[in-house]
Amino acid sequence: MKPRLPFGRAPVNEEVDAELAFHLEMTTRELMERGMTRQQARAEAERRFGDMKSVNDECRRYGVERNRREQRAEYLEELRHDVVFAVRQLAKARAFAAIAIVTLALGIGATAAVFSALDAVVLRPLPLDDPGRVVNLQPTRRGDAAGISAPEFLGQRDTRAFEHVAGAVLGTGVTIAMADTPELVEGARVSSEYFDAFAVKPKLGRGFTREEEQPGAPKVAVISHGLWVRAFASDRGVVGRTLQLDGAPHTVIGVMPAEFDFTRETAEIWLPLVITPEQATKYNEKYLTMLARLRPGVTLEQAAAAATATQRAVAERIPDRVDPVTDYAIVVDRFIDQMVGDYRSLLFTLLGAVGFVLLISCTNVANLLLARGTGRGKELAIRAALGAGRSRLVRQLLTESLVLATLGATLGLGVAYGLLRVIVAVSPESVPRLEQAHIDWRVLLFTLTIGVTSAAIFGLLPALRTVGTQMQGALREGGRQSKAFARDRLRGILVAAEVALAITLLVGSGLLIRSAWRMQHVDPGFDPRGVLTARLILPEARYTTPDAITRTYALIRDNAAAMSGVQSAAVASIVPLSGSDAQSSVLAEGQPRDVKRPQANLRLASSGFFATMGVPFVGGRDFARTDDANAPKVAILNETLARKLWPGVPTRDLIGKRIDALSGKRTESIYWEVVGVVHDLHDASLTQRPRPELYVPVDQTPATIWPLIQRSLVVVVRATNPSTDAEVFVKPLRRAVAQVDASLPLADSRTMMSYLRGSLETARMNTLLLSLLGGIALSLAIVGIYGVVSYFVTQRSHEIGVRLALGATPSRIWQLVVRRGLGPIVVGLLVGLALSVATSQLLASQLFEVSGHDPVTLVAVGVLLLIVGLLATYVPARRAMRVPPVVALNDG
Amino acid sequence: MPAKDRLHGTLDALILKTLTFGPRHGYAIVQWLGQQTQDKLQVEEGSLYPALYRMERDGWIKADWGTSELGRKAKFYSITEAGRRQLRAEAQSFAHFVDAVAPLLLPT
Repeated sequence: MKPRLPFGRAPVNEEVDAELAFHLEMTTRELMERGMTRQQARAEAERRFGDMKSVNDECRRYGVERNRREQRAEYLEELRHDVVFAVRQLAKARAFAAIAIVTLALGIGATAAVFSALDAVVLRPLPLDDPGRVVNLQPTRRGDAAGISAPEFLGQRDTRAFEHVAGAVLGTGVTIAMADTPELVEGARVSSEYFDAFAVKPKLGRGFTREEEQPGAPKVAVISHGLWVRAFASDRGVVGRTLQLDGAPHTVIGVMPAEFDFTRETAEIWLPLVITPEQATKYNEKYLTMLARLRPGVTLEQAAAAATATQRAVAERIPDRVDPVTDYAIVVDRFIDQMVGDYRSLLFTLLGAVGFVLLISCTNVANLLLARGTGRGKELAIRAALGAGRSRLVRQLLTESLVLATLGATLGLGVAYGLLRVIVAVSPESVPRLEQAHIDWRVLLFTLTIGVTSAAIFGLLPALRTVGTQMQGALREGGRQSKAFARDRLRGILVAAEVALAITLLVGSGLLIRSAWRMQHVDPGFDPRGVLTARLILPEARYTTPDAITRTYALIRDNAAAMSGVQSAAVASIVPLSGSDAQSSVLAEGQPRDVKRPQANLRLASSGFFATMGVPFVGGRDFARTDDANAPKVAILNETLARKLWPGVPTRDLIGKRIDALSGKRTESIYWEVVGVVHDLHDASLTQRPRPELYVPVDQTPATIWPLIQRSLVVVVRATNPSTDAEVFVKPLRRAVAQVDASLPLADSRTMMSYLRGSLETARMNTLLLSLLGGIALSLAIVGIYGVVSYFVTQRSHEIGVRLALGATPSRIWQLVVRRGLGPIVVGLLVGLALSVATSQLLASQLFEVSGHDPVTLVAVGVLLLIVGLLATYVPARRAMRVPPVVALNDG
Repeated sequence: MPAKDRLHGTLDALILKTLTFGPRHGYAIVQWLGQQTQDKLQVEEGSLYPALYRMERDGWIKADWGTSELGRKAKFYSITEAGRRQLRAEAQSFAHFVDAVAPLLLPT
């Protein structure tokens, strides 16, 4: 090692003082030689020197800097030396290095991949100015989420806590008349504050004004960056052009910037939200979404309190209000939280799982390093004898870990890249922003950090242990055996930890996989095989009367039913699992009017809908063609609604009863006669309990409903042969619709099988990813157990040989080895099971019909680990029994 | 080129030049420069030592404690390879400076 400068450790101040004193002394002597007295000479020397103190200070400053530079250079030199040495050592132990690097690459890579997904979806802020101030306003009534009516929105506009409050109707389809075919794009009707709430300015042109919210104002539209590029080839002259939207001419006034396309699902076209004076007083027409921008410094709680106060003031004015105003409140959430929704907890769960994998791989490598430490006793002892201190040796060993971690992290980036592909491929389409996940500098930084951290985790303990024993054992060859016991115990603890971690991860995965399995076996309540659905929207311009609308749908339906290979066709307002919803309050005839009325999902359906969707009847009859606008109003209920309205009444007695629903005002009543009761079906998702549902005939739809639903219905077609892939009907259906009106586009054409798969996508993603991670954890645990037991066997081959030579039976040896291997496994098993019971509580919200300590999962995972552990023990143990006694004698 | 740099650079160059004839301590450097210029050049201690420490920091010279002629411990400086390179560059730049300034200041 390079010797330090002889004065290197002397403090700089002493060095400078000594040097300057020497100079003064020399000058003094010279002057004395010229005849001065010592005192005179000294005084003259000091005078010549000048300002001693400032010179001294300046020298010290440079001296301190010099020392610092030298230390750094020395440190870098040592590091370089250590790295070169480490690489050379690793090159000598290829098998060890390869296993360690691959193990680390799996752990680090998996963690980096999940982190990059989490980062893209959850952590990265929206590309907006101060995105935390964009909030969602959700009214509640007695804690239950409620819709938003126009007067409620208009009331919030003046709440002081917000800079801007915007109302919107999101998710409306807009038909654009393109050159050849009409195209239906995602659209939204938004109030003039909408873009201000996000603090986004249009890239071209302008946003909406208050004047454009007035009925009869000139028709204008703002388009998204995506649509501008796709349909207008990024033509800057698009502002001012006229577009045919829903059959009426609109002027394009603005183009939004690319950043405003947050997700794949945001709107592509915005129209002004027009609120008529009549709508402005209707409290029971709830069709709006409310967004706002908080004033700077206002917290969510303050905003919620202010908005609730406004909401209660508005509720005071509701003429036929039943609930007290204190039942009304507003919940304020950050927009991004609303957007990310459940995927936040899902991705954090994955990150947790992957963290376990990383810990397991660190434990594994620590174990490998420990085994290696034993093999290098002599090398370390020699280096210690040559003057390397304890901390120097620990640093050398840690450098080796760091080199391993760096190589592992580099390879891990490749793993991350691949795994991220897998995550994106198996994730539901609806995970917002996941397509934006990339291996970028944030992920690189994260990978680097976990690489270095894991090097510290897996490297420090073995390094301290190895150096510790070596320093004591020094060059005594026999010293190794005596220390072996302590090291065996540490290795045992590491194996136990690894098993415990693997079990915890596997139990968590097992629970989620079992949930997913349960979910896949939920009866959806309808028969999805061979069923195609597609949405139509009739433009207001050409379909003004209810009669025109119902006649058109009847024609389309008849054309669809006549398609070859089709058994039946029907139309309905909403199909199950499609994500759409509409509600109505329902009252049984004769019930008191001023109670809290039950809410039910409202569905319009044509005759034949239940047969086409495969929903069985419990009693009564289907709608008939004769149930038209002139006939008495009829309704069909599902079992849940029937039970809610008339608890305990048998189905056959329900037929002929009347319900009050869909009236425009609370004081009025519209009665519907119940003609049938159908089975429950899962409408929102497979995991939620069926909700009450009310069906009324399309032909009897109240005229006020049509504009609210954009005169839009879904065509449903069932194939004669249930194994038909219903996709084949898309083209014929388009032709069937075109025969009625060639300007009508077909939107959302999807099979019911696809909706069903879609609702299982999250579960499928859980199953696939957690199986993958569980598999990695299990293989790492196997490598760990195998490594420890075979190490033990190698260490003891001498002893085993002697025992065999002295007449020990193979079964005795077998016991010895297996006990050694199984001990830590059993300890790890017990700790792991206890740990799982604790951690699975965290999963509770993601489990479906499976308890957090589901015995089946716990036992299955325990048995699996035990079998795997036994196998990993068995192979090296067999080797032990084949040790020929000669080896023992020669080896001694 | 600013005057201060010129001055700094010249002092550095003189010290480095001195050290090319062998290791010396600070006092000896002053002596040697005085002798070589018949006492026309008096290097001030106030500039010398900071310059030495600065150049040592920059790796142009290195120092070792040794025993002086009179048997006292003294810090001896010697020039490094980096120092020699610096000296060559500094001498060249000084020559350019003189070339540029001489016709202006010196009567012909």
